[in-house]
Amino acid sequence: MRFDFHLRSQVKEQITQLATQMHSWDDVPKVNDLEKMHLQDAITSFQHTINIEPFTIGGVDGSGDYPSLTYSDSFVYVTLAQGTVYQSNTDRGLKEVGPLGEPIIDFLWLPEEKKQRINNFTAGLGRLAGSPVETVIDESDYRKLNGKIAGKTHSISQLTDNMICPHASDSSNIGIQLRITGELGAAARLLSAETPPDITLIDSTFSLPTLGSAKTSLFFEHLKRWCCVKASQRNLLFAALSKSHGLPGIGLIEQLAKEKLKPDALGQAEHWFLRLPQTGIEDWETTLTDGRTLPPLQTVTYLVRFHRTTPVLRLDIDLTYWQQHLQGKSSEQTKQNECHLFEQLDYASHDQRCYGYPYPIKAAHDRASLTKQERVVLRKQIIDAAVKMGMRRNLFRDASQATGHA
Amino acid sequence: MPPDTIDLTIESLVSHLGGVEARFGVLAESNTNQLTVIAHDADVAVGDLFLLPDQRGRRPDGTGERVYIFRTTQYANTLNRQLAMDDVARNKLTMPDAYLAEDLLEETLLELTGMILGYAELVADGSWEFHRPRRLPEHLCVVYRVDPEQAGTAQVINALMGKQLGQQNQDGRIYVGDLLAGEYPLIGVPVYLPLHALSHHIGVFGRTGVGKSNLMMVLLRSILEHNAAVDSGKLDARPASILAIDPHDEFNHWQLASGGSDGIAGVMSDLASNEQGHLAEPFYYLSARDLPDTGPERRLRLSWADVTPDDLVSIIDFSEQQVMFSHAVYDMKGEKWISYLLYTGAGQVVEDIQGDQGVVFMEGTAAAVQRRVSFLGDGRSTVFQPYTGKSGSTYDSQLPQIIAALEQGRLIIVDTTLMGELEQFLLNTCIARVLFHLRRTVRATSVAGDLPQRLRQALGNNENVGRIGMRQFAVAIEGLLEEGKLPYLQDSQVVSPADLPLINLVIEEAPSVLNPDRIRFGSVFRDICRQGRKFGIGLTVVSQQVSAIDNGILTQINSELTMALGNEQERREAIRNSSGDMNGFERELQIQGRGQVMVSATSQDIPLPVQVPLYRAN
Repeated sequence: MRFDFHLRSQVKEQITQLATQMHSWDDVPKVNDLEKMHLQDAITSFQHTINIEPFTIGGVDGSGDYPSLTYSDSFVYVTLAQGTVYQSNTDRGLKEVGPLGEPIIDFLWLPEEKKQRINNFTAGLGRLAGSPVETVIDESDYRKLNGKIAGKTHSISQLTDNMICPHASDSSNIGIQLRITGELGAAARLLSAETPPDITLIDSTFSLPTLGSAKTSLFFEHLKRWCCVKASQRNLLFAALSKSHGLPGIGLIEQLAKEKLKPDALGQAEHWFLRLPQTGIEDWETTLTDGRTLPPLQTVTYLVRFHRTTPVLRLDIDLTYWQQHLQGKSSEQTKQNECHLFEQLDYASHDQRCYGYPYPIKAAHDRASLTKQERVVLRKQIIDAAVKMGMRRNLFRDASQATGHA
Repeated sequence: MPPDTIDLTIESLVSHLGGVEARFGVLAESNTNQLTVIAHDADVAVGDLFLLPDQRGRRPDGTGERVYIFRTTQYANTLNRQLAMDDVARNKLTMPDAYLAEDLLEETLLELTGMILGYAELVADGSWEFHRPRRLPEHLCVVYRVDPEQAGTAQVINALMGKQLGQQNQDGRIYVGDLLAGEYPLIGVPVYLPLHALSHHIGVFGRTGVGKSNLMMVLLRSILEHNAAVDSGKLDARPASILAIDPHDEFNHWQLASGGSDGIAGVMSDLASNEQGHLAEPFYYLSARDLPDTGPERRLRLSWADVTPDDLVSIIDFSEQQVMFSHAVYDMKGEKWISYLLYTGAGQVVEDIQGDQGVVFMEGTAAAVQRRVSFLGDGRSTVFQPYTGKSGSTYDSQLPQIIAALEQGRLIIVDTTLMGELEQFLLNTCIARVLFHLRRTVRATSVAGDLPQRLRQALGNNENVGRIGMRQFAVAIEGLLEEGKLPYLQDSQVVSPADLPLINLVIEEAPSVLNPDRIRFGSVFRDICRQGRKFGIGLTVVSQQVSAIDNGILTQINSELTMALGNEQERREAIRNSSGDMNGFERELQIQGRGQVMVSATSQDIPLPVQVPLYRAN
């Protein structure tokens, strides 16, 4: 069909309305002078860091094919996740630490039939996590946090039985769960390693979407907190770095940073961070986070800009770790500790391939990405193996291709 | 099969290349025109060769395995899974203190683009047969680099491409150099032209200073070695002869004067005395310099009596009237026509012709022709000796001996440094024409007793009808035939030209005599190009330009040795006129270094880049 929607007056009118809505939303934060002062005070600069004491930093990322193919009313989902570890290095900036762990590759078959679907899904999540689902739920502090919010603590079996398991055909929800579980599984493996990295970064946030619900939960919420617990136990930093901070009025914060740090006339302020006020720690609040669970429970959230060309990022750190390792006896000492952390992260963000973003995550992303050709090859392999077992090749189909949508 | 080749299965081939751990890359995208390979980061060069073992055509009996031979025309640096190298470069340039982290996995890769030269297929007798690229290697097959430093590489290439490299020519071969893989020659992988290339015409093209002379030395040496092998009985093949015009007098002593290697003289002096008799006598070096009249290095002399109008028309601009006039004079005076023209007034010549043949020419035409032959008169030529036909004037020419030597399988170097350009061209033309006529006559004659008379007639000498032609030369040739120095008769039978030595005549500065304008009224070189192979006579056309050579000549050349050319147009012409398909080798021609030559021949399926070694006498 010829594409001419964009020329129609009705469409143009709707787009104008949309833009108006977005603009008015962008104006929403009504920050008074006092709050501006607090925000500007909280903005802290750190050094562009090219020399640093030795440290190791890991990154994880994942991807998959959701679904890879369908057979009758069942679906095959492929998940891939990879962790990398780098050591600071005088000559090369970062040098990867071997041996490289095996990537997590998981093939999950989900039929629509409920019992089989839940069994398979639960088993698949366990494989991705690297531990049985029950163990993760047991060792994670999610159950306790949920109980605190919901007012009732559920048993492990209750939580297990009531974990959200979408329909086999609900590929987007299944895909999200599998991908995040795979990534967290890779992080869990790094954190459990004999020589774990000092810092482990995941491309995500510490948000817990169903926290406070009666019994239902998402497995990756348990796993996310489990990683936090494991990291704290080993005095390791496990942090989530997200390119989507999810805050309105970021322009105001950047303007405040610019005013405070006074970069070149045309330049953007860089090398700064802002810790969002934490109930019980800070004596001020911000309207920027109104209507949002931000920071998430048991989390300290920062906004950070490493370099002027990269956007403001969001960094979530487990509150326990923060209290144990970053919070100082005075606010100055806390800032010092925080600066040191961000200088480490800045040091890891100077690779030419992703300047302004920690390279270990980028490296993990590159290795976990599935190209179109790789997806095709995997599908063929799966089908060939199934056909060898006696299944009929023509019953396998790539739904989008069969209907001309791909 | 050369001694250093081996029978190979695909497994042993891989082990000779260094084993699976020597894997260089993996085939990515591919079609029958072009392949893309993703490879490890390495120091590479355009022209590198790669092998792709392939099982796609394997049959139950094990035959049908293939090894594709791939040649790179382009390299690109790439980063694993990084879409835009530009962004990385931009960051490196503009971002403060940017680094490139060191990864465990190879992130810096190469993308090779190139063409399949062809593939070798394992056949039932355990050998490999080379085919042009009609098929495609299987998906994602492993790629091995042809590494000149790897011990087994030469054996592998010889086994896979031996026939293409000319190594299996049973009737003799001419060594050109060693196959190039990128910038380096594969020592132990020699490339040969078949011996019969000498009679099928060779083109040597390359701008000044790229090593044409060195290439000629290597070819001369190889021909000499071939003749030695034939003479000693090691090789059952025809000998070969070459008349090598040497405009810089370098072939004989090469770089001896500057402390380097001696030339052909050095090789000749190293021959055993019996070999010298068979390979170097009566002479191998002729010069206009003041040399003795005997011995292997002699002063060169030809006679006015050896020159015909056809010779002059081949080297000087003549109008149609002038051509007709010259032939009229020659018909009347035969071998004395030069002296007659030089010593007779134009008006008298016109009158004489009218009296003799009833044809009227303008005096201006006569005068013009006289001017054109004047470069031979009044002692201006050191090579062409006067001959008037009057008493006291003797026929003083080495042309009969030169012909006899060439007919016995000899290498003759002619130093032309002291000759004028016209003298040099005329010398070449005379020899070529005479040889061509003699060979054609031998082929046309079946009765031995008829041969002397037929030869005379071929030389324009027919006393029965009063035609003089090349009488003196004919007499000399008849004498040589009787003495057995001209091997046209054996056991009272006329020898077939197919059993006579292959003869190759080198035309240096070829555009001067082989340009379209020069040969519009006919040229013995055009005749040789078209018909010479039937009689075992061929040309080696040496030129800095391809475009300046007549197309009719170029189309008859069956082997091209193309070195670095001066400009884009010449490279285009070289590709257009190539005997093999050189499309895809444009970049190769552009970056050729000194001594590197692209060998293209009808005897090969593919053009071969070759490094010509520096000539050494020993």
